Amino acid sequence: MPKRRQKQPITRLFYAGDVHGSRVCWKKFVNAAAHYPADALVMGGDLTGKALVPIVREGDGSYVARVIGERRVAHTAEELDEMQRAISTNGMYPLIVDPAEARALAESSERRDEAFEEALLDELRLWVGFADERLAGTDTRAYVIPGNDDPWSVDAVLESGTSVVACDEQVRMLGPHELVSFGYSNRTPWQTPRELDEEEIYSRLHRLVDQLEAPRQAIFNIHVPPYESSLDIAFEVDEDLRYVIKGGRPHEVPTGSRAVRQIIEETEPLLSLHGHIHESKGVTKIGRTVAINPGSDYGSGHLDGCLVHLEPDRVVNHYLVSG
Amino acid sequence: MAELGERSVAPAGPQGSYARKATGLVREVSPFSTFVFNMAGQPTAIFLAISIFFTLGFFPGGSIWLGFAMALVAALVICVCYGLFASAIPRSGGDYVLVGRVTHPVIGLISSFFWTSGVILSIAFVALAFVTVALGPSLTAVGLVSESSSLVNAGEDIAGSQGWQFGIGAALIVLSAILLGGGWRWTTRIMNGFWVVMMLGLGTVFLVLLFKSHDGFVNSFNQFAQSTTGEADTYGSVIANAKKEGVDTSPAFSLDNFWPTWAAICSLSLYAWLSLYISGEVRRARDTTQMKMMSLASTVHIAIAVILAVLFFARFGHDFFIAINSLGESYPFAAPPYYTFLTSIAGGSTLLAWWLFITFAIAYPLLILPNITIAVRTFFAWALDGLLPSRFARVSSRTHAPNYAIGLTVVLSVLVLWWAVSNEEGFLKVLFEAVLLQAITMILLGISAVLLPYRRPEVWRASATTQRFLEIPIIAIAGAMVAVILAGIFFIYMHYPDLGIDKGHFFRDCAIIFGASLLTFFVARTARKRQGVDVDKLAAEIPPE
Repeated sequence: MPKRRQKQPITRLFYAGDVHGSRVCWKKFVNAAAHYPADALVMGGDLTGKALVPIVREGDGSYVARVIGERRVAHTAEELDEMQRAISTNGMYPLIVDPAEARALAESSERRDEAFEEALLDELRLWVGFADERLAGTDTRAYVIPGNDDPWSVDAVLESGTSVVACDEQVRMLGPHELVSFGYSNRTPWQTPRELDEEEIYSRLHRLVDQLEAPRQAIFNIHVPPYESSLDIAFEVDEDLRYVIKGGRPHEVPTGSRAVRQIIEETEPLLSLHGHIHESKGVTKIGRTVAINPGSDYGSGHLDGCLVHLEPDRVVNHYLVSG
Repeated sequence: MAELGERSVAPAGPQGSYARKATGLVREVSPFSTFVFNMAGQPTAIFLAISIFFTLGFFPGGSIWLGFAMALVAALVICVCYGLFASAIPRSGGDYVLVGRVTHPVIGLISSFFWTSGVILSIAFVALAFVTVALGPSLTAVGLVSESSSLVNAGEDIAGSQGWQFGIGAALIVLSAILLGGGWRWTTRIMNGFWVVMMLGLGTVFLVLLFKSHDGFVNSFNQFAQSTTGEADTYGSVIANAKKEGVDTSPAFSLDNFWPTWAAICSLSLYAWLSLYISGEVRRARDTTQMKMMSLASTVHIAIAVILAVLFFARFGHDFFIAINSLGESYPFAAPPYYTFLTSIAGGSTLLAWWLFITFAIAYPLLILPNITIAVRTFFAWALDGLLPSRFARVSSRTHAPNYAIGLTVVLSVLVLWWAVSNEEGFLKVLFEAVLLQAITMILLGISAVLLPYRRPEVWRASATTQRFLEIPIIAIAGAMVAVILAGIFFIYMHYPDLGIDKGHFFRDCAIIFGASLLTFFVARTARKRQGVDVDKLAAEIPPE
C-alpha cells in the first residue's frame, strides 16, 4: 500500500512588490494578512513613487492640479483631501505649493530633488506607522526590503518599524523556512540607486546562501528576477532611454539577473519571489524551485501579489491574486 | 519608460507631474493596435455584406440611415462607459474582472459565462460564415465574373457541403489558435496586417464606385448578366421581378420595421470596445486614450458603412439595390448580391474580383482572432482565481502564450461549430443568439459602471475622469444608458421573430449557462476551501482601510 503523506504544518505567506508610492497598495499589503489570511507578509522592494504632483494654491483659495491628464480644482477641504487621495492612489506624491513655489519647482532640479525626498520619506513614515499599528498584537511580521528604485534614505525609516522587519541582505526565519532577502538589481539604463554588476550580485548572494542551514527549504526574496525565466521580459531600451525597435515593434528581451539565476540553480530553494519587471507576471519552475513574479499594477490601486502555502519541504499551492 | 528619461527629477510633463529616475511599467499594446483591435471586433466588410443584405430584404422601410445614426449613438455611449470603466480598472479579463470587482465574484462569473458562451458561438459563427458567406459565394462570384464554371461549381460545392463547412471552419479556428500560441506580438502584428488589407479592399470598392456612373453600372450589369439570363435588360427585370414577388422597392418609412433594422445593425456595430479584455496590456491605460480609441473605432466603422452605403444606392440604384437584396426565387445568379459581387461587376475585371474576394475573406480571421483572444483571457483569469485547474493559467516560457487555455478554447469552438454546421435552422441564428447572450453581459457591465463610484469610490476618484452631470458621475449616467439601450435591443430581438430568436430555445440556453456558472463557482469554492483557500477572498478586493 502506498504510504499516506503525513499532514505537515502549513506556512501561509503573502508576497507583493513594486507598490511605488501607492498608499492604497501598501495598506492592502498590510491588510492582506487578515484578508486571505497569511502568517507572514513579504514585500519585494520598490516602495517609493516615481512622480510628484504639485497642487497649486491659487489666490482665490482654490487648489489646482493635473491628475492623469485631467485638470482638477478643489474648492473645499474635502475636495482637496479627495484630490490628494486620488494622486496617492496612483502612486504619486501630492505636494501643496503656492504659485511661486510651483515656479521654483519648474525651474530648479535641486528644489525638485529636495521636495521629492521629503515627500517620499514622509509618506514612508506613514506607511511604517500604519503597519506597526495594524499588525500590533499579532505574530504577523512584514518582511520588507527596498528595491533598486528606492533611495538609501528609506533604510532608516524601515528600520524604525516594530512589525516591519527591514531585512535587506539578511537571512531571517519565516516559520520553519529561512528567508534570504536582496533588493539590488543588475544594471539598468536608468542608473537607479541600487544597482550592482552581476559578479557583485553573485558574490553578495553567495555570502547569504552560505549562512543557510537548510538551503532546499529556504525562501528567496530577491527583487530582480532570474535571467531568461519568463519572469523578466521587458522592452529593450537604449542608452537614450528609447525603445529599441525591431521589425516595426519594440523589441522584447530578458532583463533579469544571470547571477540570480545561477544562485537559484545552485541552491535550489523551495520558493523564489521576485518583482522589478511589472509586466512580466507569472509563475515558473527553475529546477525544483517555484519562481514567482506577481507583477505590479500599482497605478490602478490594485495590489498584485501571490499567496503561497508551504509545507517545510514543498510548495502546497500558490495563487496569483489582484486585490 | 520614455517619460522617465531624465537623469534626475524631470520637469512637468503633459500629465502635470514630475518624474524621477526609476525603472517603469511598460504596456505593450499601442493606441493604434488598440484601435485596430476594436475595429477587428466588428469588421466593416462583414457588417456591410450581412447587415445590408439582411435588413433590406427582411425589413423594408426600416431606414438603414436612421439605423446607422442610432447605432452610432448607442456605440458611443457604450464606448464612453466601458472606456471610463477600463481606465478606472485597467485589468485584462474584461467583464469577469470588472463586474466581479464592483459587485460580487459570483456575479462576475455569471457575466463571464454568458459572455464566453456568446464568444464561443461567435467563433463558430465566423468560422462557418467564412465558408458559407466568404469563401463559397466569393469563389462563385469570381467564377461568374471571369466566366469560369469550375470556380462557380467549386464555390457552390464549398458553401453547400457540411463537410467543407466543418473542415474549413475548424481549420480556420485551429490556425488562428496556433497564431495566438505564437505570442501576442505576432497576433497583433497579423491582425494589424489583416485590418489594413480589409480596409484596402473597402478603399478599392470606394474608388471603383466613385468613378463609375449609375448608367455605367447598369450597362456593365446588363452586359454581365446577359450570358446568365439571356435578357438585354436584366437590371430592369430584377426590379420588375421583385415587384412581382411583392417587394416594395421604394418603401415608405416604417417605424415597426425600423426597430429590427436598428437591432440588426447594432448586432455588428456595438463591439468597438473589446480592448477592455486586454486593458492590462494597453499603453496609457489609466487615461482616456482607450476610450478615445474605442469611440474612434465606432465612428470610423459607421462612417465607412454610411459612405459606402450611399455609394451603393447611388451607383447601383435605389430600387435595384433593394430589389436585388429582396429577391427570392427569381434571383438570377449563383452568388449572393453582396457589395463585393456587384462592385466586381461594376469594375468588370477578374483581377478586381479576386482582390475583393481576398480582402473580404480576410475579415473573417480578423474577427476570429479577438474572439479567441477574449475566450482565452477569460479562461486564464478563471484559472488564476482558482475556478479552473491551475494548468489553464500556465504560459509558455518561450512565447508567453497560455497554451492550455488556447487548447480549451479550440475544443469548445470546434464542438460548437459542429453543432452550427448540423443545425438546420441556419447560421444567422447562431449569430443572433450570440448577440443576445453577450447583451446580458453588456447590461451587467453597464450596471456595474453605475455602481462603481458608490461601491469603489477610491478607484473611481483616482480614475481618469471624475466629472459629474447634475451631480451624477458621468460613468454612472453612461452605465445606466448602456443598460437601457441593451435591454431595448434584447426586447426587440424577443419581439421580432424575423430576427431569428427562438425564445424557448434561448431561455433554455440561458438557464443552462446560469446553472453552469453557479455550479462552477460553488464546486471550485468547496474544492479550494478544502485546500485552505477562500475563493471569494482571492477574487475580492483587499480592504484598504
